[in-house]
Amino acid sequence: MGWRELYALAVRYLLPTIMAAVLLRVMFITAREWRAARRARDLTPPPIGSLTDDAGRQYALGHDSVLGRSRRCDIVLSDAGVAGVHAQIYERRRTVFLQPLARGKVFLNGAALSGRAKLQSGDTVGLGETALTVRLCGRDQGGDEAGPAKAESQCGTDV
Amino acid sequence: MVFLLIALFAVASLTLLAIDGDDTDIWAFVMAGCIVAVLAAEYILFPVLFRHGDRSLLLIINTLAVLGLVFQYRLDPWTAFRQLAWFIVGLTVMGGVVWFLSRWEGFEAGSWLYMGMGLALLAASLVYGSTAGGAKSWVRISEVLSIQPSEFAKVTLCLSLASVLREQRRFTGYLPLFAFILLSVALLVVQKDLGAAALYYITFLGVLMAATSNGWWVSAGVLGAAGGAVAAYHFFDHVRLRVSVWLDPWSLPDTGGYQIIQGLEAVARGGLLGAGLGQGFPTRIPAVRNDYIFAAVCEELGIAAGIIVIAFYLILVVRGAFIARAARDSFRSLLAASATLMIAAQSFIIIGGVLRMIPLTGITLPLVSYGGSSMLGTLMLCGILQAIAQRNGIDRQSARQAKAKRVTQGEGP
Repeated sequence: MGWRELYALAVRYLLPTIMAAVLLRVMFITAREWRAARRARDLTPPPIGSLTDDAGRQYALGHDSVLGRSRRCDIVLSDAGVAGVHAQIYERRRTVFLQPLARGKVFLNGAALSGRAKLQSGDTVGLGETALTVRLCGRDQGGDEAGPAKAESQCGTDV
Repeated sequence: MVFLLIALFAVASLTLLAIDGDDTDIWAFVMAGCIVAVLAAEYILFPVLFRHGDRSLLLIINTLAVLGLVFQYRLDPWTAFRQLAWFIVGLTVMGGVVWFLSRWEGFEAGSWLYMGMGLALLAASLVYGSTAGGAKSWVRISEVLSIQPSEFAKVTLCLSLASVLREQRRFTGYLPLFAFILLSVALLVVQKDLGAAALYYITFLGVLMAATSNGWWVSAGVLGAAGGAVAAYHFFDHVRLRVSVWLDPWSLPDTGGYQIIQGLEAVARGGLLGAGLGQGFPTRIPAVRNDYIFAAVCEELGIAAGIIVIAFYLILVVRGAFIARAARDSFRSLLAASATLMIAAQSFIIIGGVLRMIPLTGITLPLVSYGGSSMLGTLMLCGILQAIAQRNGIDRQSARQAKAKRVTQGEGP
């Protein structure tokens, strides 16, 4: 077999090997990025929204947040009129719900709630003397110019 | 490092082509040198110009393009050099797209502009077009230069889809987009560019699903497409021919079925590792330089190479999905999704056609096929992806900086 044929034989195996090597390298990089993103997401899941009170203080809303005066709650409110465990805001199937928990009243946009209610951006939630403005993350926020920018700093993933 | 592998691929294969035959082909070495130079330039410039660009995407682009260049050289050295020129132009345009998209804000509002431009481009090829290979989609610019406007209309389609679908609207808000899609598809069908028509519609349905998650609408769209296909079958001869040739090419072995039969036989001849670069008979296949390049790759480098090529397009989809998911607003996210979907759908339509899984349509294999407009169009779409990836990286960085600032100022995370 002449050297030309030998070279042809070598190239015959070399070319698919190189292609496979590049493919595997790209797959490896992609898998590594996927795992890193997954880990980052599990550590700090992105908030589903935020609550802002009259003083301008912002509370981040997780997937399931309990509001109340007790320190065991996810969002601790220091209002005297707020019960120990007062209300819950959670997300289910892309909808955010507000659920009163205590016998104390929960107001949504001024109306007293008797049960669960859907929340939208811009709603006002009243617990005790505290009025909280709701801002939800999600592709379509609506709202004024100041709103989305502030909420965006809470929203968004670190992927 | 991986760039070295790609360069090695080019050098090894072109050297083989150089020594194959009686005389040593100097030009093959010239081509190899040019490819290595382009790769080196990319390797140096890319991290400098686009800090957060998607390097893996660049690797995929280069692997496929180099594979294409090697095969174009094997088929016809002159077209290979033309392809190389278009590749360099395309890379520059890709950089230009990234720069352009990063300079200005407000791209999301131009939906009417994008739709208008898209229709104008498609109408231009209808009005000014000359027929080549059964499709009336080429516009002659000069003696040696003709372009395919529908390739650039792909970019305007992505922009239109993203700018309209980024916000939830009432149903009437979507009607202009639906009209635009129907008109575009109709224009393409009239020009007998069925592959592009299918590509546009599939991309539209995919992005619609991604944007609205409305299975009903997408199902309606699929049914509409099925109805349209049946109607096309009844009204257009060339559609009937394509379908009957797809179902049984051996019934028309010398006319309609010739291309498909040659392609299938070539793929079969290749076996696992192929007949060897330069050892096959790809020139028997009509349109082997553009539509049927996949069959040539399978014949000479084997089914293994064919599977790897398909895998590359799949990885491209995955990376495009990453970019789309990491985008901060819906416009950029949908733009990335539509660009990804266009490239992926195009490759699967033509590979499926070559392998006789679906009826054959006249579109090119992105980056591998010969075709300046196709190369430009695909690289523009890749430029869109890189631009969004770049922006994602910048956003991620500023979010990290803002977070660090908040923590040090005691405001809490």
